[in-house]
Order: sequence, then structure tokens, then C-alpha cells
Amino acid sequence: MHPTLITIVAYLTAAALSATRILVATRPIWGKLPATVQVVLPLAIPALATLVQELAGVKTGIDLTTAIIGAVLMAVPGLPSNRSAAPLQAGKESTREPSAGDVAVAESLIAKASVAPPPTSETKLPPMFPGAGALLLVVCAFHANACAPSKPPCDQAKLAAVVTICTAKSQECVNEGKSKSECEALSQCDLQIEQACSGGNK
Amino acid sequence: MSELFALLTKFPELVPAITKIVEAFLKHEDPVVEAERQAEIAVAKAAIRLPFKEPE
Repeated sequence: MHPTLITIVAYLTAAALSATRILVATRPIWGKLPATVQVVLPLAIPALATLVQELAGVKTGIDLTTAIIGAVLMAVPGLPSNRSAAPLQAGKESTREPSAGDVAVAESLIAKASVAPPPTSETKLPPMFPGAGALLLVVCAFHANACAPSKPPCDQAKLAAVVTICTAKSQECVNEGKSKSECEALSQCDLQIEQACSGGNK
Repeated sequence: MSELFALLTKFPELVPAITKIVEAFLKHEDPVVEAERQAEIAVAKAAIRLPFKEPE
């Protein structure tokens, strides 16, 4: 299954959003959306890219189920944890005066930040770590099941014959005082080697 | 990452081989089989260029 233009654009968009500060810079625009939409929107980009890619190769009901599960699982690791995430709230316009409630929350956070947390020797994994790992394994298992049959290996007899003949041609080039770039037989030999390993041997 | 770039700069013939392996993965083929195939191709191409190598 070849990646389609839509898939490539979706992946590039997701990569650009991750690698740049576009999302931060455009916050005044998308910050007006409801809080739930703000959380789901960035996750939807890779999920939809996966879904589009998988749907292109769907032939059976199992393929469709795999495609949907794979797309949903792409979004799962980015979802807010129900244990550690702050309550959802829509973005506020920075030009407005902070309300009394905002000031109280900010003072509370500053006070909490100034108190050093008690030392702990226990190594804590991220809340989503075990679940995300298990889901990743499930996706890998589905992906393995969806693997197309691989091309047959190189035709060893043909490859050996090509190497033998081409080595002799190279030796002729060397005897004639030609360099690698001047030896035209080399490029033809490269082509023959790739043909011997292309799986479409005739 | 810089080490990877250095490696690819030193051995530019790795780039098409890696591309083929990634392409195989995207096509839901076995990337390990493709990697073995690319290794065989690389060995064969190196073998036919041996006469050009100056004896050390």
C-alpha cells in the first residue's frame, strides 16, 4: 500500500505542528474553541492520517476494525490523564483584566511552587505508561497481521552470475586505465544486481 | 542525530537503502527482509568494484 498524497500531507502537517510554535502563536484563535475541542483537535490529526492510510487498503471487516482501532489508539497517548491533568478550561483573552478568582488561583499556585516537595525514592512512571505500552503492543500485533507478503529473496544463482561477469568487466576497465566513473559497465551491472534482487526475476 | 548525519554523509549509498526499507515498512512488507535484500545488493555492488581498489 503506497502512502497517498493525503496521508503525506497529514503527516507533514502533524510534524510541522509538533516541531514549530504555530499552535502557541495561534492560540488567540483556537483558544476560543470549547476546551474539549482544544484537547481533541491536535490528537485528531495523526489519528485521521492513520485512518486515511489504513482505509485505503481495507478489504475485509477485520481490516476495517483494525483501521479504526489503530486510528483511535493513535489519539489515546495524547489524551489528558484522569489523575494528573488540570481541569479543562477554555483559553482566556490575555488583554482582559484578571478576575479575583484568577488572582487567587495564581497566588495559590505560587505558594505551592515555593514549597519543596518531600523527597521520594519511588520512581513514578507516567500515568499513561502501562496502558499506552500495552496498546502499542496491540497495534504492533495488528500491524504484523496486516503485513503484506514480502518479496522473495535475491535470486542467488543469478546474483552470483552477475557478480562474476561484472567483476571481469571491472577488471577490464582497470586494465584499460579507466576510473569507476568512466567504466560504463558498472552502472549496467548495478541495474542487473537490483533486478536479480527485485523479486521479479524472469 | 548528528552521528547519523555524519554516517550518511560518509556513506551516501546508505540513503537509497534506508529509503527502500522505510518504503517496505509503509507498504506493510517485512522491513527486515528488505534490509537483508539491501545488504545483499550492497555486498554485490562492493564486490564488482573490488578491482578498482588499490592494494594497500
